[in-house]
Amino acid sequence: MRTTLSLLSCALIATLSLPHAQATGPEHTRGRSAAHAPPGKKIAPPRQESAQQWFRDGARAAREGANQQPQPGKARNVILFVGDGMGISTIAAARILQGQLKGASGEENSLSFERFPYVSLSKTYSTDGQTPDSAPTMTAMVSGIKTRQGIIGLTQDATYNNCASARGKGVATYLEVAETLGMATGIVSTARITHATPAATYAHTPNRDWESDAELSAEALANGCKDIASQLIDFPYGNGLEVALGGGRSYFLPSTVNDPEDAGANGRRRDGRNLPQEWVGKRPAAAYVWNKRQFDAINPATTRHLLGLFERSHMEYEQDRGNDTGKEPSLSEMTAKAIDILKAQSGRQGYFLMVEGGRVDHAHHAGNAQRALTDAIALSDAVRTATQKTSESDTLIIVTADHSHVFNIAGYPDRGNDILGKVYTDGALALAADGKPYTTLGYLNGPGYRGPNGRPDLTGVDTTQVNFLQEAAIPLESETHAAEDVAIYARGPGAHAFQGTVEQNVVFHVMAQSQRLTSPFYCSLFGGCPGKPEKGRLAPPLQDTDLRAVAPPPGGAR
Amino acid sequence: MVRRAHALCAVLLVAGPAWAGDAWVAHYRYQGAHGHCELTVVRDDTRAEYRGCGQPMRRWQQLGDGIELLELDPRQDAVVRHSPGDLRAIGREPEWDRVAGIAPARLRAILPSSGTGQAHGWASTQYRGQDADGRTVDLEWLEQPALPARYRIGGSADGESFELERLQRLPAAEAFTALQDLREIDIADAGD
Repeated sequence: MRTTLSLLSCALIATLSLPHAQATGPEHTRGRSAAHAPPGKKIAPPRQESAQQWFRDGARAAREGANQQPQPGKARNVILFVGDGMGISTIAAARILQGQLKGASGEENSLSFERFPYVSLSKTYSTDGQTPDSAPTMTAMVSGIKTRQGIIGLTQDATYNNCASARGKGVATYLEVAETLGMATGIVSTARITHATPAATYAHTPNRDWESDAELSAEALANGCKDIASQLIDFPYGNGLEVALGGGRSYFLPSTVNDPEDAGANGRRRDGRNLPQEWVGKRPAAAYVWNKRQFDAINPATTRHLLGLFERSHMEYEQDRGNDTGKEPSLSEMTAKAIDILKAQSGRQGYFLMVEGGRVDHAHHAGNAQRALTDAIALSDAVRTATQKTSESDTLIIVTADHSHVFNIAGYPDRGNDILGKVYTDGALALAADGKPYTTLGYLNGPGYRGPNGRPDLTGVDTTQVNFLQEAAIPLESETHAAEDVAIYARGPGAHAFQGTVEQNVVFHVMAQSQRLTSPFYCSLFGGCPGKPEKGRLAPPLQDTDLRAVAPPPGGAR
Repeated sequence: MVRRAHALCAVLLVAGPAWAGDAWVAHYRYQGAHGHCELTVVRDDTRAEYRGCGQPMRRWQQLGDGIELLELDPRQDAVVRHSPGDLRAIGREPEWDRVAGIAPARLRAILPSSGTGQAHGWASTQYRGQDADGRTVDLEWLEQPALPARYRIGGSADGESFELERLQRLPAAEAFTALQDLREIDIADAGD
């Protein structure tokens, strides 16, 4: 995507040029991370740590595990949290960072969801990729099947970027089924709500980049494929989504309309549709907001459909949120508002909410660990908010990731060593074979590559600066995803189904079998109901076009 | 009061319509270690665009929450957007005066003035000395357009220079590259 400087390599004009992939060391120094210890300073472990305490705490955890009983019955509500790119190394580093920000040594800390009782590992490969992108992985989690790279809500029989191939290949998503059965539904993301992860809950497309009509190819237009933003507004099931909060405003506004936040910027739609206006016009008690002041003024008791688009593209990184012109709500605040609206609208039917921490992934791609970890902590805060606003007895909460990143926690840093700092072992700065220090956090590839003239000397560099890019071994303009497994954390009715290492599409099936409306619906179609014939009425998976035909009569709907 | 009004009028006359939808268009001859080329800088209050020298068009724009970068990608017939947050994330958010005026303001603050004059019809101030890195600097600064008429930094072997060849004021809509019909790609999406 990016071009490289060829003719002009001089320092001055290079400064005025593109951000370079091969960044050098000491200039990554703007901003400060105030809560960190000075380089090399160790934070002492908690005083209560002792051999006796380790033994007692371990024994108690083992007893609690052995005594763990599954929540009885079915869930009324299902909340799926996805940390985009939040691999296990990200979770471990975020846990330590959060602990250190609280003044502790960090390693003993736990993110909110790490206390959930049930954990599995998820195999994230797609049908044609060892290392996946977010489109097939989220399709797996919300439609129950694996599919191809770049494809959303279609079976693997569709071809990427080929609209004609998509006909008849759509698979009904969990959100679509939930809406059809009368549940309230919502999506929240810090990325664009048309981005692959949130889009997979409500859209079907052979190209994840077809987010507005301006991105549709001639072939897509000729064969009738619809862009992702319009699929959200024209959502055909139930009474439509109750909540959609995130970024991506330009994909919803026509090119003739000025952006309300950024002077000189316009929408990007070429079909002239003003989708926020349609959202408000088509639905009762609907509202559209684009800044925090408007968001805060929304009354969940009287608002039945809320669309919030807080940026032209992705929302700010959590680290930068305070600087935003229009001001943005946090992921936790959006989660809280979404739950309040969904509770008010769902009655006894329950609700399904998907929440994505979308920018963990982007910060990793940029090679900026601190922003990635800060966004992972923000997701943990949002999960905590959800656990506080719901009951474990009736709400299944799942926290997982779509894929991992080539992000490492390496070396032998002492206990309490600043997770963003250089490695100190036994109190001394650890040196590599080239005689230079190195950081605990790093990437296998990405923009943090400093070569080809050897590694930088980080001795005098404050690596805890927010804009510091961790070193990468292989030069790439964008750091990449990784193929390793990701974790699934769960609590609530049905959570005990997560055991061992599972294929990623099992997430969907646990949600489907655990909710009190979707469980009988799916098993009546495909069999597997307790005490009923194994054989179902249909061959799976459930196509989106068949969903309305097989759905129960609208008497049960709101 | 009358004198203040006259002074204000004089400023407005000098400033002209640049603050009412016009932009400065400065054509430079750039000389670097690898040769020379033609560079065009287009600038208004909130935008600074660089064209030429074999590089794709780059436009820096001031927003309420920082500076964004738009870069033309001719291969994809698209414009790649780097939001302020994305530039911060890679440690490359620039200083506005540097992109708007090529020579950073702090340079003029530390260099001694060596005289005044006129260049391209505008009053100029000359500066000579060394920058913070000890490199020789020769700068002729046009106060009103806030652009250099001449900017040489470093020695003949490793230095570079910008020589202003022509300066225009044009309607901004005509001066800046039209981007509205191009597809916009967010650099944050480079990694899928």
